[in-house]
Amino acid sequence: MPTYRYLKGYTLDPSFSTLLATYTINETLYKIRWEELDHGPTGDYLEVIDIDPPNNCFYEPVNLNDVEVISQHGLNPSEGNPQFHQQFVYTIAMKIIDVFEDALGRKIIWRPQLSKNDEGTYTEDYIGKLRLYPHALLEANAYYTPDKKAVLFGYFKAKQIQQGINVPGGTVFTCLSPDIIAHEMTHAILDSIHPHFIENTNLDVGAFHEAFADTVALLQRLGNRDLVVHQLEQASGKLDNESVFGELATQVGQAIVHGHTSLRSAIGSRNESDVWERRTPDPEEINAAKGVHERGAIFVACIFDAFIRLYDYRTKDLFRIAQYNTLSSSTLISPDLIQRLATEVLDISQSLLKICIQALDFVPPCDITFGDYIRALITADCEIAPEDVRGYRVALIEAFREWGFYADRVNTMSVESLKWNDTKDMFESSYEQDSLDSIINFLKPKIRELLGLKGRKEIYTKTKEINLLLHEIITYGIQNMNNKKQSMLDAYNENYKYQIQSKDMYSHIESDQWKKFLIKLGLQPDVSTIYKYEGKIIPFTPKFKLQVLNVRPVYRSSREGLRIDQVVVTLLQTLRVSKEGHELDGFKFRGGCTLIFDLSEKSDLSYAIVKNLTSTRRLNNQLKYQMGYDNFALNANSYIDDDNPFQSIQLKNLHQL
Amino acid sequence: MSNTVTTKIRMYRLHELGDCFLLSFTSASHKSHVLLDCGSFRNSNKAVKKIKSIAKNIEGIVDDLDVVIATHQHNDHMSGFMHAKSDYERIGIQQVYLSWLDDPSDKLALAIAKKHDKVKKQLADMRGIVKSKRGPVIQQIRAALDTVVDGLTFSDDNSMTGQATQFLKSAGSKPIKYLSPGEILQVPNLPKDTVRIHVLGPPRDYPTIRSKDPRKGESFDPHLNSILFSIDEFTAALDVNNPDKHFPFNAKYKQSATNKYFKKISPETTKIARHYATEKWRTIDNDWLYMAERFALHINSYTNNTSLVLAFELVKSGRVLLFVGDAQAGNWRSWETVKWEDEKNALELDTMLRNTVFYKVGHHGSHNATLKGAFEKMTNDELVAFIPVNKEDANIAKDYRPWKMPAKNLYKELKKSTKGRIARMDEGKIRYSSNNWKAGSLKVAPLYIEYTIKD
Repeated sequence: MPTYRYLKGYTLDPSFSTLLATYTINETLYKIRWEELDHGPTGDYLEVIDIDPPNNCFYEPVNLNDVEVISQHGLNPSEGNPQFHQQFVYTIAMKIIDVFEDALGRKIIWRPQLSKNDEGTYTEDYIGKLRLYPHALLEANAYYTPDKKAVLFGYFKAKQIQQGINVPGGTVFTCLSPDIIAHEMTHAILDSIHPHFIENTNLDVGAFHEAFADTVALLQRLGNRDLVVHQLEQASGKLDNESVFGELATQVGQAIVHGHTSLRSAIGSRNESDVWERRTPDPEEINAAKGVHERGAIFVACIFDAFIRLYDYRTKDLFRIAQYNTLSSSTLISPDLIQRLATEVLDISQSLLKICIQALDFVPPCDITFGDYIRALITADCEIAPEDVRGYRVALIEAFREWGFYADRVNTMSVESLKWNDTKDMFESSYEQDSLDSIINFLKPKIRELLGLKGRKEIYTKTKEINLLLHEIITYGIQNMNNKKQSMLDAYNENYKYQIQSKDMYSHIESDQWKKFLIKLGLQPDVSTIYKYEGKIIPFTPKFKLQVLNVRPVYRSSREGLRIDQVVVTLLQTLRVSKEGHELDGFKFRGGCTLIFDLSEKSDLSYAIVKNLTSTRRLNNQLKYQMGYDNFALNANSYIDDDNPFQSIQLKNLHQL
Repeated sequence: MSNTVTTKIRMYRLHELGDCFLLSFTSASHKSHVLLDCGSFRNSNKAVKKIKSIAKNIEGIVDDLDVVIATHQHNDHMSGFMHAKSDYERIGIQQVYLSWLDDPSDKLALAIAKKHDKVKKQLADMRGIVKSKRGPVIQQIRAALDTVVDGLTFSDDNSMTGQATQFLKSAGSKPIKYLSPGEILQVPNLPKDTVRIHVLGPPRDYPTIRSKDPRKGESFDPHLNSILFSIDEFTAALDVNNPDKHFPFNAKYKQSATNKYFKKISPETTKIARHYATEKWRTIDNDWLYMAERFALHINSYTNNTSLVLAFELVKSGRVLLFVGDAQAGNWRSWETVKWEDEKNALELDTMLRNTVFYKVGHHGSHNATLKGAFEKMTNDELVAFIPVNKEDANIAKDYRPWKMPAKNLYKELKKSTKGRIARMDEGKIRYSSNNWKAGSLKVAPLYIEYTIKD
């Protein structure tokens, strides 16, 4: 079996092929992993289904195994051939999956489908393939929908006037924009890792989803060598002036009414005299920004800023060696220097991309804030490069500071304070240490088994089994578990699985010591706290369950060549209000933790990243946000459904142009 | 002092969604009456009766109406002028104020009206087509279209708001006035500088966010533009009998089992199509139609944003009465950019808001018709809020996607800023006695709630 499949495609939006400056680099050969494909393309992770409901028709599914196709590295880029569109969404989507799997060191398993059966119990179904619908909508929009486990792409007619480089009245396909595909795929993958990040619990959650998707799309662009070389030539080695890097989805942006710019240009924009200016950091800005896109864009700008800092820092010597005066643009820059600079760009951007993705293992399981994420970034980087000889952390922290990103209740912006706290002081008693050891000893062989599996469905099933057992350990306590383990395992079956997960935990807790241990993990073994909203007791449903959300192996090598062998465990507990007619009906307050265990020689709990369920401060903040004014940014035009303060973020509306 | 004035504001209780406010200004020697809106959302027989009794009530107070104002073209603000047309003719109207958007000699207004009409017609067509479709998505879309289509004017001659506008244009004995932001008027028939009217909206130009070269008219309201951008293709696509064969691809690529214009479905496509249909919950046949709902919501917002926004300044005390119609965020935001013609009598926006003692809450208290930033500046100790809303109204009481009026979070803020002095048409006498209303300032009758402000 071959290792790679080569497929032709666009580097930037198709409209760049019509510009003299970019047409030479706008077509490229993508290298993606080889997999058996059926018509569609339909592979292991993805199925492209080309139904066009507005036109009430289907388009013939492409067969990438066809000799005429495979021998030519796929169909030629063409806006007018739907089969190329199918090939292209598949190509870019696979590319993004590759990037994530490479960074995470494990396989992507799509978010399972939860459905209620007739008896009112939930069943969870494995989803093997994410659906991609390249021509689903007749509008300037594209979105991932968790309800259908699908990405829907739209197409539309460009505005009837000349704007940017679009043909007036020409058709624009969002499924041909590599940025848009990357962005939507990132939403889908993020949702598969953190299903609770679409719950609108604070101002940052939606913004984070957007910012993260844009960051991936942006850094992904900076990984294309041809494009980087070309841009460095154009800009004489500088990257912080207007370039294709700072703009995402240019063609779609230019085609819409208020366009004349890219869809998103986080890092800069044209001023009144039409001169491009890089966005300058203003630490006050993030506090004033309330909108999802506004806040998200500031974060993307901040990451890009860190990238520029690293690039400048790392290329200073190269410019000196070349005796190149960066201030005079008249000097033609040597092609050799360009190549060396491009190597730096690729190295920095891809390392940054990796950290950004790996940081997803170091965030709490719910209620994410940018503050949490910057701590995760620093922690992830400490793990991957304990020495930081290349200055990534310093550059990131500098950028955070200048753009006004701070972590909640962290006093200084230093690596030591931003990195998640050491757990040594957290669990000091020998009981707690023993408990942790038991959990690690339980997990270790299971994770080894998990790592040995190849098929994604097998991994999913095995993970569910581990989740279940871990759930039993936590609800019953270590002592009980040791007696019960085998019988539990025997009783394990598909249907049983979810019922067990739904059992109430507090009635089984074995001892006070165990309870205290759980409280430190952000959980609530007893309903002891009384929560109030505006002086009145919140009528939370008294029974609340523990969920073992996920157990994810982390097996990768560090930037400095060390082997990282960890497991990430996410635990979640939810308090609900279910009282028809009550002001807070539908309200959910979640808490729990992300635990990172080291499975190597050390065998200890490295981090416990906690969102405390007993924190009334967090509860109040969430209610203040959800019941308040700022919660409306998402649906400002509707007065019908938007008033439900507890609904999830609708990615559909987020992207609406 | 000659410009001492007593102001009475009467909110008529339609007991549904509908605005009708009578402002009576009394100075030592003069009286002037201004009627602001008169409309019903329902327009049922019951509503017509109610409106007639309101007109009777007005007739009992006034000799004639000094000014009649209609804020924007929605039934719940204008239909009453038709239902009680003969009554108003009998009462007599001296002068009518409408917004510049109704001015037949205003080129920008005409250009906008043309676009607006086009969209309205297309929405009506759309509803016709969507009616024949099935599926869970459709119910939601149809509901949105129904609301909009039934509540809109569909041609100037036939619809109720269209007729009402026609009637008002010729109803006054003095020539009609079309108001634009930046104008400052005297309430007629009072001593000079007793009550001034500052016109804040609707804006002639919206501050645009992204376009660096906004063309006049085009940037009037992003809602209208956003619809105009794609409504043609959308309507064309709905018309299955007459497809645009080569959009977005040449017809040779299109395969369909049912559409005779397209190619027969191939074996491979059949396989995919079958697979597609097996998991019903993942199909997307109707998702593209959500667009229609968005069009409907946008056009509604657009019309709300055409609201005439007036600040009545009681000159002696400096107090301000703010009537915003149903203006939504865009309209509110534009107030900061208003250039006042009469600089001497101009008021800073912040002063105006700070001195506001009476706020007619926008759009029956929906969440996006009171701009947070501006509302926070209404800090006057005397502030009271009137919301023409009735919780029993079918739009609010219905189970399926009810309208949230008044919006909970806004209501809470209103309560705070007014120290509980909120008047709603659906709440009777008892409620008010327990609140912080100034003694004798509030009168609650079955037909109206009246608030009195004395200099």
